[in-house]
Amino acid sequence: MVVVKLPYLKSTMLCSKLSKGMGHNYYGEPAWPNDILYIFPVCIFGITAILFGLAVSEPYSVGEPANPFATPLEILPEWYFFATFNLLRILPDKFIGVLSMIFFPAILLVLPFIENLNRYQNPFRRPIMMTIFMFVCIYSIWLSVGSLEPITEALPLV
Amino acid sequence: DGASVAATQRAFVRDELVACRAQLSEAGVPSVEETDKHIEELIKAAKQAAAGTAAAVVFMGGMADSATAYPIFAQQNYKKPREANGKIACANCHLQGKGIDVRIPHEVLPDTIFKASIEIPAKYEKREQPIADGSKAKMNVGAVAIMPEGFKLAPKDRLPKQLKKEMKGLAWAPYSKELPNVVVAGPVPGNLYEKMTLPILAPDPAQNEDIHFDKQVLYVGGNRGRGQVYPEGNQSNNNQFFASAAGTITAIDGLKVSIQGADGNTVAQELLPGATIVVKVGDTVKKDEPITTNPNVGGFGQGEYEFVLQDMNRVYAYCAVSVSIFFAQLAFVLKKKQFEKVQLAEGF
Repeated sequence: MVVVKLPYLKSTMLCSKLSKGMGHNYYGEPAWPNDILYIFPVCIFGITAILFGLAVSEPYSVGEPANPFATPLEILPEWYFFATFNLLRILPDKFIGVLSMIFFPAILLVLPFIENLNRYQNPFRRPIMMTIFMFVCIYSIWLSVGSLEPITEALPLV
Repeated sequence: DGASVAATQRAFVRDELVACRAQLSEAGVPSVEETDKHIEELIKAAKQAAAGTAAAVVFMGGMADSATAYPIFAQQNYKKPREANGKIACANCHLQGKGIDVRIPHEVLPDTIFKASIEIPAKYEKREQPIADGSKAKMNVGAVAIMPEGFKLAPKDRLPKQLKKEMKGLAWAPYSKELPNVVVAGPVPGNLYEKMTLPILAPDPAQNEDIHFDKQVLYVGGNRGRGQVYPEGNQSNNNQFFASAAGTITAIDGLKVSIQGADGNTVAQELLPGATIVVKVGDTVKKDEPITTNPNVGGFGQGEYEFVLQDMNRVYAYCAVSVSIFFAQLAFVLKKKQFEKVQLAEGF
């Protein structure tokens, strides 16, 4: 019991779109009402329930008022800055540290242009890129965990 | 337990004062002032017994050199045990860092008693520290807990038997009259009280307007072993000693090390018993180079531990919301499945 519309490949419009890597919303299960009306609310409600539950059992804590004359013993940014924060404190050169921060979004921006060499999408058809991606992922987690350690044990593999 | 505690502490007058203090609070005398007066009386009595100023000096020395860690030093010297940057005052004299492990519940309900178990791990049986005369003895432990505003030590008459048993007779005392939410314990033998149990009574926001259902923070500091600095500023013998001048060691006479500088002047440096001298006569040392081992095996650790003062109504409301969300999700999926039949029948 699957409601599916097959791609109508006799349509030149669809074929020209598909050749450009687009037009993939012209076939398959109808979005309305199957997905948008029925499944979207399920996900929205599910996420709401999870967030409500966390907010009830783990309410936001109010810290101490800011004191410009006393730096807390432990100062950390939000968790998604852990990796770049750790790089900043590990790297001896401040300029390289700042560059390392800029490189995060910069590399992500140029990635599609480098990736252009290969038209495949399946990671198993792009072993080099997949290896690099896995390495970067593991290395980011490594750096993030290191930011919680004292700087002498900050996993200093730069 | 009590007897052995007393036995290990009998040796030092100061310890007896601290024990006396603990007994007083155990007996339900809450006022710190009264306890202080009592201590003063004891000091006076001790002075009289020792007859004269010289004996009093000896007593003061004995007080300073005993083999324990003292929350009372913090109480006497710091109005608030926690500095603005979060450092707990113990770290000003207990210079070595060693971790502690604290377990508290994730959520507590108002007006209930819960426990914080504070573990101050160390190898108490194996690792021994130098005491005043340089001989080795077992380490003692002490702890300070800074509870959130409104939280206080659970009253004795409300303690469950199980919790009482777990506390093993440990006496927590308020830090001062102004800070009833700050409590201290110790010094007590480390092998007995490696794990300290702190019974806390949660306040009720319905009765106190300043208390809110909110996330709370418990600050805990725990120490094992003797300190490195006394309140007067002089260092203890539980220290590593460093060369006071650059030069050549010309003589080591017991605990007296003579260093001859390049200008020919000889500096005689007096060490305290406990550490082992690692330099030999004829060695050349730089200024501030270590000339003894570090005999300190203890250390101070601190941490912040969060928990939630929970309103049961919030939990009930959340249960209602999540149950209704579940039924809504179920309805959406069933409706989709129903409509899919129509789509298929219409020859989609």
